[in-house]
Order: sequence, then C-alpha cells, then structure tokens
Amino acid sequence: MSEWSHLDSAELFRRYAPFVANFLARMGVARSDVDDLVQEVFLVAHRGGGYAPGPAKPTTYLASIAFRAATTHRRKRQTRSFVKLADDVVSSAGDERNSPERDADQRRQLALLDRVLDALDTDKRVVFVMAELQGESVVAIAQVLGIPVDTAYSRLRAARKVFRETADVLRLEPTSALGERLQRVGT
Amino acid sequence: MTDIHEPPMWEDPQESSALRQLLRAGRVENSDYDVESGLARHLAQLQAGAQVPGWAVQTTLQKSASWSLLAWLVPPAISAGVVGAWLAFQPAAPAPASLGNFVPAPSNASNAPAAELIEPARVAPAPTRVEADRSSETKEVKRVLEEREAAREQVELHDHSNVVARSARPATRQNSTRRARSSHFEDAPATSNGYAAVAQSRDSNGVGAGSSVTSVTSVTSVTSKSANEEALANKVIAPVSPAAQEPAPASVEEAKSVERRAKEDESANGANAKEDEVSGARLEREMRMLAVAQRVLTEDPARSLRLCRQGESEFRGSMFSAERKQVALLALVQLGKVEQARREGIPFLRAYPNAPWSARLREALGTGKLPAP
Repeated sequence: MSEWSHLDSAELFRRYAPFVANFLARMGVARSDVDDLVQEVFLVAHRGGGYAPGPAKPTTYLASIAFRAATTHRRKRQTRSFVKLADDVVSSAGDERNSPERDADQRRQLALLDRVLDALDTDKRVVFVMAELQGESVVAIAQVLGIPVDTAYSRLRAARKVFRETADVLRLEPTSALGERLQRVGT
Repeated sequence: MTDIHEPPMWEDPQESSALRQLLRAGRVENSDYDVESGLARHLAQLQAGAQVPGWAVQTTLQKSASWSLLAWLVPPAISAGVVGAWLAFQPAAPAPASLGNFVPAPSNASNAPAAELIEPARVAPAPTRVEADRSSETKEVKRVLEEREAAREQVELHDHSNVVARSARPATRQNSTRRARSSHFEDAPATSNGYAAVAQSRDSNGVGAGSSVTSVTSVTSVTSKSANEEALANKVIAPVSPAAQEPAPASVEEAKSVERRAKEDESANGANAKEDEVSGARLEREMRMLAVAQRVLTEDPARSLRLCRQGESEFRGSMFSAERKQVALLALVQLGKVEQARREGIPFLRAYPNAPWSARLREALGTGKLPAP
C-alpha cells in the first residue's frame, strides 16, 4: 500500500479527520488553526506514501504526524504572541446529538481539560494524550515518537502526577463554574 | 523493561470521580470538525499538487541517513578547500615569527619584511573569507591593545610614585614608555605564547622609533618587586637619545617586559575583580534576604512578604525571582489571604509546574494552610 489513490486518501480522511482534529485540540492548537493543521497532516501522510499496515494503528501513525505539526505550530505561535484568544480557550467540542445543556457542560469540561493539559510540557503532553485520551499503548507511543519505552513510561508517570496536581488546583479556582461543581462532586 | 501495572486514570477507582469525569470528556470524539468540507479542501490540494509543509520536509531530510552522512562530510571538505585556497595565496618568503597571523596595513611602503606580506600582487583581488576573518581579528586585536594601553597608563600614574623620582617623571614618562615598547618589540621572543605582535611602522634607519610599535604578550609569571622597581627606574631616568634607544642588555629588557606584563595583568584583573566583587555582594544580599524570608515564613509572614517584595524591587528578574515569588505566595497563604494567593499562584504554577517547590505551593493553595517544608 505504498501508493494511495484519491479514494483511499478520501477514505482515510473521512475516518480519521475527526480524530486528528481532536488530537490537535488536545495538544493545544487553537480552534481557528485546527483545520489548516488537519490539512497539513493528511497532506504529509499522503505524500509520505500513506499508512502501511503494521504494529502501529492508523491513529498512532496520524498522531505522530499531528504531533510534529502541533509542535511546529506551537513554536510559531509562541513567537507571534503569548496571548491566547478567548475563543481558543473554548474547545471545538460540540455534538449535535446532545442537548444544549449537555453540550455546554461538555464544552466547559473540555475547556478545563485543556487548561490542565497546558500545565504539561509538550513531551509529556503528547504521551499523556495518546495514552490516556486516545488509548494507545506505551510501546506504540514510544515507537512513533522514536523514544525508548522506559522514557515513555517515565514521561507518562510524570505527566499523570502533574495532571493530578494541576487538576486539584484548578478545581479550587473560584472563577470556574465547573470547578465549583467538580469541587462539590469531589467532596 | 519497565511496566506500569496501573489502569488508565479514567477507569482507576483510586482517582477522584471528578478527575475521571474530566478524562472521560477528553476521550469522547466530539469534535465539530466538518469532515466533508475538509475532505473537499484536501482533495483540491492533492489535485493542485500542493507541496509538503516546511516542517515535514525538514524532518524527512534530518531523518534520512544520506543527509546525516552529508552533514558529516561536507563541512570538513569545505574547510579543507578554504585552507587550500588560503595556502595557495601565501607568499613564498616566510613571515617573521613574531608577527604571527596578523598582518596590518603598512604606513610606509619602504618597510621591511612585514610589508611584503600584503604586497598587492600577492593578494587575491577579492578578499576571501579567511582574509576577512583575519582583518576582523586584526581590528579586534587593535581594540584590545588600545584598551590595555589605556589601563596601563592608569596603572603607571597611580602605582609607582615611590619608585620613580618625582621631578623626572613628567618629562620622561611618555618617552620612556615608548622606548620600552619599542625595545620590547625588537627583542620580543619568537614564541610569545600564542599572542600576536602588531607592527605598524618602523623608521627607515632601522632603529625603532618607538612611537608606532605596540605589542601584546601573555602574562604568565610574577617577578620580585625589586626587579620591577629597578627596571622602571632604568626606564624613566635614562636620557632620551638615539643611543638609549638601542636594544638594552637582555636582562634589563627582560625585566622591563616582565614588569609591563605584571602591570597589564594587574589592571585587567583589577577591573574584573571589582565587577565580580560588586555582583558577588548583590548576590549575597539577595540570597540573604531570601533566606530570611523563608526562615520567618511561619512566625512572621508579614515580614517575609515584605522582604520578598523588597527583594523583587531591588533584584527584578534575577535568578531567584521565581523562588522569591513562591515564598511570597506562601506568606500570603500564611496571612490568610488565600484567595489572593490562588489568584496569583495558579498562573504562576502554570509557568512553573515542575519546580522543586511547586508541589508544596500547590498543596498550600489547595488546602489554604502552609504545609511543612
């Protein structure tokens, strides 16, 4: 499967574009930039010969490309401005099947999740997102990131610790309505 | 191989329900990404032959073995080519050893061997990179020489009043200094420990006039005070005459040379030592303030906070700035101003999530009480 036809490419895009968009959002890419980066990810996948069946799942393969895209994008964005637009803080979450109330709740949770993830540096964040949110195995993550498996495990452990602590702090933040609710749930 | 015998956080019962709920929200694929319009754009890009973005090209090149091999081979090859070209333009006659690599422009066309090094016929029409580097190095050396010259003059003015006869000094200082430089240049050893000597011009009679000869030598030894005084006295009191400008006996010249080296060393080290002393004192003061602020954090948080604010106003942006900030936040917690501490502390913790004190600060902000250190 070294050459993809447009149909194959289209099929891959249809199946995994939402996954890539989600992954990019969890990696801190602003909502307004997600579509551009999704295009770049699938373009790179296509030009690189596409996904070859092997130990890595298509999601792992696409996540490895998306990670590089997100890292480059983040670097560029940091040089442009350190101010994050309010629009970007709110995640691109939203499902037409949900009720407005549930949809709003989901948005708030994802906004809080992104804020907690912002506490992680990029190396830990990608391992955490892939392992905890995408359900990838640590071995597969190590393979696609080109790092030793032990390193991937230690990053995951460190990321879990920071995530736990940051979530605890953010739960107590009075400005967040969700934080108050979570606090009630937690107690 | 290391293994984590832990379930994912979102289904780990030991985690808080709020945390699991948060992670479950992230696991749901609920992006509002418009797949159809995205796909249309993607296919259009493919048909238009869109190029791979720059970051992907760089990564591909960096990962390819051939590129790595080229990265190892090309720089040495370029260096060898440049050195070969430089050697091809070298003059046949060997340069005087004392001149080293630096070849300044001559002020007199009839000058001796030094001028021959840059004779126009032997120089390439367009300056190569090596020549440009040499030129910049020469400028740099001249600048350093001028600075050292100024420092040396200062040292001479202040340090040796007890050695030289006061009446003779004003009239003879300049001449003697020039003479000393001249004689040093003439007698400079060929191996000057890597430092270069720069000759600008010489008199046509072959005797160094001393007014345009400057040198820099390494300072590696310290001589006795009596030798220095004797050398300086000889230098100052001797009459200024052509006979006096002849090279002196080796022992006297050597003493002069050593004495001058010692002065240069003193002046350079003196300036550096003063700077180090000032910055060291500031650092010590800052560290003491921080240490006191940490020590009195529990008993007197108001004082601790005051010290932190004072430290920040005095040493803004220093290497202990973050450390000071976390002490101030802990002091706020101890003072009962927990809301203010959280307001300032949460963005601060976001900036420093993994500092050695982050965990303690997190706990303090979360519980509203100062944890044990």
